[in-house]
Amino acid sequence: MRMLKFRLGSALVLLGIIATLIFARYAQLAFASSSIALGEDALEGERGRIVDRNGLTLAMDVPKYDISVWKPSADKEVFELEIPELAKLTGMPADSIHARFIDENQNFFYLARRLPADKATVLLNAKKQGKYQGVQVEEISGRLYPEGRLAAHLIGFTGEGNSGLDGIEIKYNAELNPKPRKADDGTGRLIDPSIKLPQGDRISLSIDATLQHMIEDILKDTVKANGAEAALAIAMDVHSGELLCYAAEPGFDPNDYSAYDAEARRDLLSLYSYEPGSVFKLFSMASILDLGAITPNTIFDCDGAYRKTLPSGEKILIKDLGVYGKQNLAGVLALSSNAGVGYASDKVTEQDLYQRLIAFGFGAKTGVGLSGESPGSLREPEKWSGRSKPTIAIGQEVMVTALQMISAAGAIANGGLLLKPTTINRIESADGQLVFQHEPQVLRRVVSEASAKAILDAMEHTASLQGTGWRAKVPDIRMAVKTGTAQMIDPTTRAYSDTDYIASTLGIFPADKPRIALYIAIIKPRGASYLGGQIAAPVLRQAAEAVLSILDIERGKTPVVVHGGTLRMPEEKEAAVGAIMPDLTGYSKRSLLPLLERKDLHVSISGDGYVVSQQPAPGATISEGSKIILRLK
Amino acid sequence: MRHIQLPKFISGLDYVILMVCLLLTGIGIASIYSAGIDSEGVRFSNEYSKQILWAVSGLAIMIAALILDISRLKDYTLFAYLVILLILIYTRFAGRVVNGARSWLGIGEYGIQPSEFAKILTILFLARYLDSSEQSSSFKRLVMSSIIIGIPVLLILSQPDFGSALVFFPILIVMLHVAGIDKRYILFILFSIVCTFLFLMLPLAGKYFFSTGNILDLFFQRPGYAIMLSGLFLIALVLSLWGWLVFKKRYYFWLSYTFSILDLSIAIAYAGHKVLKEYQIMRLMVFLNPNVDPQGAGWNILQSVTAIGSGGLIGKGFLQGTQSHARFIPQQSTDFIFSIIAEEWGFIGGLFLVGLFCFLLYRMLVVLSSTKDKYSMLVCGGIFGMFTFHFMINVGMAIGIMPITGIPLYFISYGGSSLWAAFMAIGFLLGISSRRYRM
Repeated sequence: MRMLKFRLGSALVLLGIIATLIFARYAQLAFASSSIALGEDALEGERGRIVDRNGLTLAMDVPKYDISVWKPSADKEVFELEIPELAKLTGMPADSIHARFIDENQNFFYLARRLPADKATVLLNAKKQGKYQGVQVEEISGRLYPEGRLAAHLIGFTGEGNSGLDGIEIKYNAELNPKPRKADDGTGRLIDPSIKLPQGDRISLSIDATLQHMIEDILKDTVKANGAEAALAIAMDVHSGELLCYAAEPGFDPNDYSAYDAEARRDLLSLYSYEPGSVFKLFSMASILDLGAITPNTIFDCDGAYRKTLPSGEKILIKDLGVYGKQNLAGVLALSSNAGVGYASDKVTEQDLYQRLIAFGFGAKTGVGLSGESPGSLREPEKWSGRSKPTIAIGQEVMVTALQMISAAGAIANGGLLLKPTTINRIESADGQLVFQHEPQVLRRVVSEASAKAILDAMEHTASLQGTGWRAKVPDIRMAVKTGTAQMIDPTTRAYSDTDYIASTLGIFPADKPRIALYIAIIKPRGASYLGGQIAAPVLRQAAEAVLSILDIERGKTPVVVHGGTLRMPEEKEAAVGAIMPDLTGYSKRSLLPLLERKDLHVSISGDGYVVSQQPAPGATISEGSKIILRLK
Repeated sequence: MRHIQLPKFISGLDYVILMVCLLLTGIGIASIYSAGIDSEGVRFSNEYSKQILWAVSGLAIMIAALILDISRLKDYTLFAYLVILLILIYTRFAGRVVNGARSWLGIGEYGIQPSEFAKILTILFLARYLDSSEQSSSFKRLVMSSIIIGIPVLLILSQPDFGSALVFFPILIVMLHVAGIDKRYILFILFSIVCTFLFLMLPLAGKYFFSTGNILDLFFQRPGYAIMLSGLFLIALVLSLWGWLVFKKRYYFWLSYTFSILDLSIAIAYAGHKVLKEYQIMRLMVFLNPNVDPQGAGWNILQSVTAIGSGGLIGKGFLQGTQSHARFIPQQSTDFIFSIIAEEWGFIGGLFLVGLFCFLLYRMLVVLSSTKDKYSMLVCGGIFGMFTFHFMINVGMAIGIMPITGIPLYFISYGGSSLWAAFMAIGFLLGISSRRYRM
């Protein structure tokens, strides 16, 4: 009997535990705000905008519509007749609508998610007339990316419930999510009573949309011309650490992100790590120089290869493309001699070289990307083989991301000081209060000012006609350049591939007073050449021209034209409609967005570009529910 | 017909259990009524009227089960068990496919799920076996019981109806516990189940829940390591078994014990990966973080949890549950019925329901402890295990702390078979309770 009591008791205890668990979780769901339950903030209201450094809107909220079918409310025969029209309206193929409709496992399916207002209105009106029984139209808050593919990898996109799924949208989800802005004086009153709906913070990115646009165009051409798999470009203001351009091609359109596979949406700049090749020589030579092992005038015998025999008897051979003879630091870098860099690395210990490269930020996340950012890979010296030291010094056996490269280049440009890079310029609350303003953040000194200067001088020599980087040179400005070509490792054979390369070029300019660091990488070019100096350097020159066109950097020989932002898209007035219809001709499509957001007006827009005709005419009275038709060209 | 007799002591009937069950059925019909209305207030389903029909006929089944004196009929349970196995086999090949599983037998609109009744008949037969094998060793009883449970489990898995197959395990565990089998063996089953789940989920967990490059992911990216480790476990098992047989040392027993659990779980999980599709495994684990797949496997959980959260303390009122009516959780009237109750009746209502179930389970334990013969006790234990598991998994699934397995909430969820099975089980239980003074 005691046995039975014990067994009964244990069953009761089990029951108690289950009941307690259920109670606890249930209470959490019922009483905590829904945000805890969902793990995401599901507050109704407007998500904050994402704008570029000049205030150009890159992401904003607009009403969108989910269209679904609830089969029990639909008449089977009528619905099947309506399928072709529904297919046209929603973009879902007619036969797949039909397949879903006759599938007995589901009573409910979506025809379209996040459909724009114009199409949904057609559906709603038809429904009022008794058509489309069983079709449901549900208004949701949706995200519009007015610039489409522009900086899509950086911005990311939102998904279900309008919460961030990628990029800035997820990294700053908490800031962007709508939140009631209340005074923190304990009274709980709203700071700005005119804002009734909760709104999220507005995030100003550090990128310049105009520059981003120009460079993305250049990259698009580059990918095409070289038959490459992808191309990356990243530009940094070396004094503040702000990234002015953050581009990767091919891109995707976040307005329609589900049409692209995950690979196309991957932010290569922060997630993709690779062996950088010769550009990396800058950082190893800077380290060796700063350790005092060599001087800018140390002469290396570049006789075609680096040769060394280890105590174990193993012979190491790293070949050069040519025989360069006796060269100093500038010559070694300008010709990108593996032998020179290899012999230089012999003069420092593994531990010293490793420490310096770590100080440059290699092997660690920069913190710019998402939490999944790649830290690259730089193994501890204990795990190095006999050939690791010279190999790493020439940019192999080490994996980096483009973000790490630009950040380390910043340290060379900045007199040896490593800054923390950022993609955020400032964050403001909905009622205009500054939540965050980026200030340059010095992480540490990596090398001395003199060493950084010596490397910059050598890079300037690289950009001269004696160096590999002459194609990167913008004629009338002093530029510091380093090119690189890295063989990629074939994942199947784990050996270096004969066909897959990464061609890259790094530029810093103006070389005498550095302001910008710019990095270009072309992944798997399949064209006539795969050499960084031949295909990446010209791209860098074009990109540098683009940067120069938006910055007022003094240019040497040509007459100085101070652009002063004239190339920038002018700050446009947003269209506003009050009681009287204004003249909207000449307004751009983007400036009409606030009108589309209004729920009291039916605005329909056709075409692209600028408004050429409108209805009603200017001066007509507008009341709630008025219909406005705009044609753009 | 001395096996079929009305209990002479109708007064001895456990009316509390009966009333609780009737109350639950009523709540169920009301909720199914509410679940059949869409956001525009239009009724799209008449499931509630069918449920009333099921409930009335279910009561008749309950009375029939009550009259049947199962402790005198125990020698016929083998026959019943074999018949239900045959029906399961027939269903497997000639049944109707509903929700992707060939699990139904029926004519026209009406049908039954034999797997629901297989649970109860297996309980009866297993109770018979455990009752008659008290003299055998624990190990033999464990193996035999596992076989008795295993045959219907495999048949139901092949339909494939994962949820229903799962219910047999808590039944087995509780009944072995009641039968007084060595605790080591019960723990063996428990650990094996836990490890199997872990091994089943880990590869996908590595892929979806942690960032790439984590140690787990690495492990499963290189299948060689996993195979090597499994091989080592197998060798370790053989060695420790050999050690145990030769030296009879205690620690060899525990080594064999541990490695059998590991090897068994790895083998089952491996088979599981071969048989189950990735999305099916995802459904089992997505409750850990529904946001990894908000459009797919996580959808139901997110919707259900939102609906429950929106109910608040007192709920939105009967037929007023906006989330439930607009969002169209699949299987709103069956698997996710709890979310509509919690939304419309709030925390108070949900608490009342949970309380009612806990009370019912408690009363089952009371009946169990009052029985005088081992066979009745075992049947009560099996029914208790079945009800507990259904309740725990269904409610846990709706509030997002249990895997989605598609197990109905007895008496509440829509469905003739599960309601009939529930009434049948309660009928047996009430019969046992009212005959407890006889011996």
